[in-house]
Amino acid sequence: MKLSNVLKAEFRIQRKSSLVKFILITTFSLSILFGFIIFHSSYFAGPLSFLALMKGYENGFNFSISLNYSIFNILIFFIIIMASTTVSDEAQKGTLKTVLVKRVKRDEIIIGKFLFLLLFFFCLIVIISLFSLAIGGVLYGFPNISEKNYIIHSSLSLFFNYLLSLLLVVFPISALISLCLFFSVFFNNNMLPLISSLGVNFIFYIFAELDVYKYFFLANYMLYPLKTFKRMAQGLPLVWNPDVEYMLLATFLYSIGFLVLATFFFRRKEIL
Amino acid sequence: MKEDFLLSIRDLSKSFGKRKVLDNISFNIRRGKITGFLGPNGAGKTTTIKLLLGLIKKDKGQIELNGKEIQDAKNLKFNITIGALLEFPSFYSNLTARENLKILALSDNYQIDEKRIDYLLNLVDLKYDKNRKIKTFSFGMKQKFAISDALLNDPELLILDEPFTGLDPNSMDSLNKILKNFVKNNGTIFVSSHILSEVEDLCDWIVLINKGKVILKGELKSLISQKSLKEIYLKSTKNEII
Amino acid sequence: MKKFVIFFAFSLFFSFNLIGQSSFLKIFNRFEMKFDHQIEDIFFEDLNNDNLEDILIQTKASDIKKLLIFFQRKEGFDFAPSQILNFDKNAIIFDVGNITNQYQGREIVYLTSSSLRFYYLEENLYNPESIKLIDISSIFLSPSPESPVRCQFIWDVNEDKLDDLFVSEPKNLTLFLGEENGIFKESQKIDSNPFFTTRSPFRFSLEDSETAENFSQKTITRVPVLYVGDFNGNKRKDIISIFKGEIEVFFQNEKNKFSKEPDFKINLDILTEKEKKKLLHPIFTVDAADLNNNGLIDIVVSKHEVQAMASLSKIYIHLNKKGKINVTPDQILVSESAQGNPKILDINGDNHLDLIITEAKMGLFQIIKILITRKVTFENAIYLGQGGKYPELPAAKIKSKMRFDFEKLEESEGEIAYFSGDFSGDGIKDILKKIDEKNMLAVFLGRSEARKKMFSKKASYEIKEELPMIIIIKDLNNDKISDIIFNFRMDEKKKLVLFLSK
Repeated sequence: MKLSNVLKAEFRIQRKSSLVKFILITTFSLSILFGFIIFHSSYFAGPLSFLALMKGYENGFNFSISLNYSIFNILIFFIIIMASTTVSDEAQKGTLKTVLVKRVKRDEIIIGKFLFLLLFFFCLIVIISLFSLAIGGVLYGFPNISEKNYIIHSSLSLFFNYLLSLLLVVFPISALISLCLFFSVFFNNNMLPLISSLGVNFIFYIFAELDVYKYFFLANYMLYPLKTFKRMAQGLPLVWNPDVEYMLLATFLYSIGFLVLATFFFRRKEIL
Repeated sequence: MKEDFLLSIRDLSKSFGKRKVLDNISFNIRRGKITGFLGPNGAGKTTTIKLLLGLIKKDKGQIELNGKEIQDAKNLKFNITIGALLEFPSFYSNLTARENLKILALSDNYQIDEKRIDYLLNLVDLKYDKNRKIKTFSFGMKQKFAISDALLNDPELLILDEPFTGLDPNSMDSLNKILKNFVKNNGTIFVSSHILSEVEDLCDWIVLINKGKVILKGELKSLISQKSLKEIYLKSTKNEII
Repeated sequence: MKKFVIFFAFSLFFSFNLIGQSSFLKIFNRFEMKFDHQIEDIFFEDLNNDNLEDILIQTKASDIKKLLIFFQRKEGFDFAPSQILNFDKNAIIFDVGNITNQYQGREIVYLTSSSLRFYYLEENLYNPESIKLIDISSIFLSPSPESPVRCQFIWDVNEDKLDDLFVSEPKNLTLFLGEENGIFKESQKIDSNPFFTTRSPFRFSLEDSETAENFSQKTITRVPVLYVGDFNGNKRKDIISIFKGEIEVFFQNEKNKFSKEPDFKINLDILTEKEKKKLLHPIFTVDAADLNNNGLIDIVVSKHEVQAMASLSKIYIHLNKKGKINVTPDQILVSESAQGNPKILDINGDNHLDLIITEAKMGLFQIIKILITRKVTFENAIYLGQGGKYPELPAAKIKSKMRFDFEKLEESEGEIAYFSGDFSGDGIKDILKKIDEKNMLAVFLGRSEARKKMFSKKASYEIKEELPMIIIIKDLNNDKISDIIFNFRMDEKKKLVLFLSK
């Protein structure tokens, strides 16, 4: 069985799905709204300027990452909603058994769904990034982050670090998808996995506030890549190390661990 | 002459919690024949079919394909091409009939064959509905569509759970013809049904189960030589064992 | 046998834990002084030139403006004031300095609306009758009903061991150079804005107690501040006036004269045009300090933006290059959610000034956490400077907490870390932690070894005490070991507690 077939099938299923449509429409409308607010708050004095969403230095990178970061916060919820219901929804609607009598392996279904979700959200983030970067470039250009001729970050290093942060964002997303898929496998309705995933993530967010133990919780890494670049785009020092190593390790373990668990339980799941 | 069994089921048992749904059932599915699977509601027909399709796990028992034991029923579909129609079939309701078949072809590791998809939809009389979304289909149309799905991968074995439910007489007749034609081309069919007249018309062999136990099995011709199938059915399901 | 081994191991473990943690009273003598009035302000000066800092306490003004003087003796302090000086009711600002050699010790000089007068030391006590020095009109017109304010207007600018007086007039500054006989001749006028260099950080809520004395001068934004130090590298002290990012320097020539016009002038343009237009424009302070220990005064500007969703602090380091400072900074340090202004002091004893930036994280979850726990965690990020250059990342982050009582904010308590003390005398700063919840003071010694953490993990000295809102760290007995002063100004207590190093 080719994995590409599962991916193709998943793509065909999801492209007409109302949840996907809702996510796409919401994401793009919010992008436009946030973009407007960010631009407005930076250009015009007024009540919005107090928000200072694009704090620090005004340039295309800061505009793009400010927008991207805000959207990503919302995307996390969408990832949870979509990933935690991806298997359970099919189980609820009965399409899971229709597919499972075909010659697709159960592991392949899980991995196919995982890869599809990863690709979907990654592409979404990349599209928003490119789109906002282009608009940010038109509005503010891409000058070096500098003040009074002192260069804090050059635009070239900003560009490369933006690319890097976009690549690194795959890791926490994959860990989150993996975690939610694990819950999705257990249930035959959508509410329970959704509530479980949201609950666990909320608890993780609280524990991620702890000083020492935060390194064990996914929430500590969810925003890390984009946040690190956002800080850079604001003129703050760029700090990848050593947290990036912890992030890579932790998110890798989360992704693999929960994916293995999800496939393990899915193999044993009885489709009634 | 040794009988040609495609599938042999031996002592298959399944419980859900304390409830024993299948209790040591054994029967054979003969190659090139239509085996009917009869029984009242809750007898264990759908459970048996789900077991054969690997959707649920057996507690004990053996499934032999061509005399060779298949350890895990989930692997049966990798050893023989099976077309399946499940009771109350569900499809992606947001997508058209064609789209659904394409997805199911991909799930079965087949490349999308547009001609075959069109042929099958014609076959089940959904020629003019192929671009309609499944959610607009009536139950009978869904059932017909499910038949086209079952035939999609050109299977050796068709496992059908209540294929006649919801079909109008014309459709029933055409399904009957499709199935007979399938067997003519060396196909094997295992079909569960309530509709005795169809079974009588269609099946070569029958297996009758009640309360998780096989209470009657045999060649239909010899069974109905003295009594009608209806009589046999009613009597056996009341008295359990003849 | 097994039990014995376990018991032995446990006792060994606990005894290790106890090692190095001893009471404050091993290294400090505790003094408690009581008086009749609440503290208004507190100053430390060596009044009688015995190399021991004495204490001046201004009490909350009633009818009579009082100054309580505690002279330090070798054994420490008396429990009651050595002298209670009734301040001239016309006094507006005052300072302490050695303006004449005619009298022993240092004089308390004050300005009224028409003259400069001083109290002098006579037989170890200040003569309650002040002497008029000169008639002068200044920008200060009438005394406030409150106690006179300590303002620095005395410096020894020509380094002749006699302090000189700077009097601020409406459009210029008049400089009087001190002479042996105590006669002040009007020396020269300099075109400078009126200044107000406060020496009373607590009273004006300018900064916490950790103004980096001896190193830097913190400026407020509304009034110009004067600072005296070598700017152009000729080893003579120059007058530096700082006002809203405008820096004017009057060089001192070999004849100890200053030119009327500033010799060097620069506007650092701290606020951008856009920032100026904002309703709440950023707060900034300008510090003058010799960051790289080359004898020349450098400028540190810190700008703190207050926003709803975001706050960003920027520190601009303008190093002095042969008597010039450029608008382009030599370094910009940007930090997120910084609170207040940076502390500038030499933490690791390498004679190069380090920066401590206090940061508080502010995000949605942090705000929820604050609302639930009522606790805010601050991080004091220590940036170790080398030659005026600071690394992008701090060498250490020391946490301190504040617990908010939303109904009574002034009763909020927490755990505050003070960095300006050296309690071991090794030249490396140690941390003094004021832990309100436990009513405890604890000292964590600073370490010199590069490999280890900057400060000891466990407290080296601890004491339980009723703690004040404000703590001052200063070496009062001149033994290179810092002493601790409890300032009960906010606490309305009529007492003073001192921990003097042994």
